Amino acid sequence: MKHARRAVAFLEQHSASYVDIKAAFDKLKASAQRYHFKSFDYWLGGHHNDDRFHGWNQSQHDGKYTGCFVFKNVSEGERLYGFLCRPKRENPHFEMCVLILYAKKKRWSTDTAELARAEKMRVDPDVIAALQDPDLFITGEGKKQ
Amino acid sequence: MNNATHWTERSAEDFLYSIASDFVEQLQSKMATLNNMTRAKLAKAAGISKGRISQIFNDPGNISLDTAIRLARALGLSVSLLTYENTADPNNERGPVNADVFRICWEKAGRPFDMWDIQRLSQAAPRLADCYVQIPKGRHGTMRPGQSIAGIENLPWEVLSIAHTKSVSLNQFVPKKDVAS
Repeated sequence: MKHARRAVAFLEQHSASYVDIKAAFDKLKASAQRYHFKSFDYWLGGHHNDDRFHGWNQSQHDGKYTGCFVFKNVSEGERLYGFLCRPKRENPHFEMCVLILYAKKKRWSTDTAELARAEKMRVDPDVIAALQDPDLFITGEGKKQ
Repeated sequence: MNNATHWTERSAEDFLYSIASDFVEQLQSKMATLNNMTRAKLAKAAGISKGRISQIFNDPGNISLDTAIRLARALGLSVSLLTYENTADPNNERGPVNADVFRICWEKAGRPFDMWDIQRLSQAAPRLADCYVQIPKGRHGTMRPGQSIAGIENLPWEVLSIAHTKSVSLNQFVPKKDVAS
């Protein structure tokens, strides 16, 4: 999902087995997908809504996951983990949330194992290279976004 | 779903969900400002069952206008149903404009109730001559007379802050351009 200032993307085709966001999201019921789509809209639109999404600051987990991000659906026990990045060199204000894994659980305390996976993908050389691919922001009409 | 279109183009249910979700978010924001307001209390005040409230909050897409009005009134909120022509996004690539955006614009415009209010507010719009403007590099200046405040957008320098020198409140008239604080 694209926006002038922000975008949300799913990471696909990575060798790490836990990168399951696309397959897991596609399997969700339409109503569950809608909830997350709406959350994406709020984030893309610059809204603040800690019930739906948030990152982690320096004071949490020794500041190890300040680049990570989560979208969550509390009533369904769902979380979509990923990381934030600024992939456009020519537009450093442009921010992208790259989602990598889906988790469903009843316990709402943060699982650092999932955060560690998101952080690992954030600094993964293949992922970084993919994010710097100039074709990433070309639409079907051949226009760069 | 076409890559270029918004997810609310998938179906009428998706679109309805999106706008109803904005509505429910507004209810929740209001509830957060009220002491001890729970879904159960809201249900009682609105004359709706607790189960129905849960359904609406968990899946807002099937809310009826009647229920929406009952819920809003129970929280002391007013409701309007509006349409708008979004010429900037005719193909719905970005989805419906968020309800909070409309609400905030309305509040910033001085909460006009009718066309008389709009007329009064536009007449009260300050002229540039009435404004004191801070510009970059520590320079300050009074703006050129004879232009409306909207003319700020066309000025060659960035406005850092703006204050009004007369009695008319200015906070409703901050230009579209981002104003750094």
